[in-house]
Amino acid sequence: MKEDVLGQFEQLILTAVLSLGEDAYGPKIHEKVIELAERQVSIGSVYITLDRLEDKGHLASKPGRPPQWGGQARRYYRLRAAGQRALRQAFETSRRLQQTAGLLWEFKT
Amino acid sequence: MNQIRSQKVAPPRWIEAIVKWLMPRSAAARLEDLKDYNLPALQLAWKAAGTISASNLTWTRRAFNFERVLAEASVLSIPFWGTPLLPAVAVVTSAVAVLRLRDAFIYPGEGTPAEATADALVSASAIVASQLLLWLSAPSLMMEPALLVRGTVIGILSVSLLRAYFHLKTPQYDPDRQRAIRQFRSTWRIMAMWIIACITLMLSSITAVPVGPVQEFLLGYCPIISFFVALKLQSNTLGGILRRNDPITIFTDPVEQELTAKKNALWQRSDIVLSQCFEIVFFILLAFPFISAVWRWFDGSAADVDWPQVATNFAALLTLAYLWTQIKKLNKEALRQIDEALAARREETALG
Repeated sequence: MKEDVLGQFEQLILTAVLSLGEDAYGPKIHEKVIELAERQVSIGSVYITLDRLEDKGHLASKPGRPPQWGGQARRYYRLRAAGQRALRQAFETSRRLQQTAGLLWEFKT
Repeated sequence: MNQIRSQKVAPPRWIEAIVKWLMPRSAAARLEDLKDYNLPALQLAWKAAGTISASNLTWTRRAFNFERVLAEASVLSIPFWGTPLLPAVAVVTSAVAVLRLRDAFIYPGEGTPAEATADALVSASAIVASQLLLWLSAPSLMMEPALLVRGTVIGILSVSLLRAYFHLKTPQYDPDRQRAIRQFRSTWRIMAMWIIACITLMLSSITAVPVGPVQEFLLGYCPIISFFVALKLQSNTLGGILRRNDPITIFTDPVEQELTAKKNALWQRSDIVLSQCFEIVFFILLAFPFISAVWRWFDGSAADVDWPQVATNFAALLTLAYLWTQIKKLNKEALRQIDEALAARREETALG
């Protein structure tokens, strides 16, 4: 089956959603991505990537409970099976790269 | 750096008003997200700008519909027919471009009179703004005021009516369904082009290898009939692609029903012998004029056969046969995507 290859930022977003569990919504994901990436990331790029991943079928979102003080219910994200598969595949690739590079570095030193 | 508030404090009113005014309808919940940031007003305004632009970009992409753009551009062009080309292009382009943003803003449209009025006002404002911009930058591209007023009034009235009709048909955002339907449509477009090529080949072969009127009639119709019989038999279901007449009960999921009907309209790997027979018959019928030409050559009665045309058509037949194997792969991919969409839908339903 043809699998979608994830970019680095997409991996960050999916990992953030995965680690936040039930509490994955815009600002929390943004904060987690900054923590994981160890650099500043704009909220706009987080939203664009969340939307793209939703279009690809890696993420699903649904509204939570409406706030008591009025206004719209915020959207919570969760990983779908396709997203988990893609993320696992990305980690496998990264592990293989790490192993190969590690061996080469050991050989050189 | 922790920028998220532990307690909710409403953002400044002016930021809230701007966000409400500029945020697409489908992303309105993101205003609640902004309330989480514990930041000074200017920094919060910067975050709001990022959120608004990202949401508009996403919904412009999601709401984009090529057929709608073509229809709107055509309807807007009619009242400007006969006017100088470049000014007319500037007017139509600006209106169509702004209407894309409007689509993003109101997705999914409801086709109400209020929406149609707003559509008309937005397109009129876009046209006026484009003329003002041209007045400042390139006055030679401006349209004559009388032509502009006449064209704008007729154009915006027709375009808002057209959009009201389109909005009534706008589906809700459902990425799985939309991906599957897109793949289904592109597969069927390619299949349709392939069928047209087969009909053209058959008609051309009949001319190259003249046969009797009865055979001509049969060869003209039978291949296509056998193709569709094979297609219908291998899906092993009754009913059409849309399944509009199927009963819908409280237990029926209309999207699942639609996707299943689309699935049945694709070419599947068939185990039904009769369907396989009709598929073979189709290719035999396509090849019949060539077999007939060779037979006549052996028989010594091939004086009226156009041999260069027969050779060209034979090459075309081989190409079409090869393309059929590729089209089957496309059908397989479309089936896989529909199956995935169905599985995702069932998973969502199970999760509630």
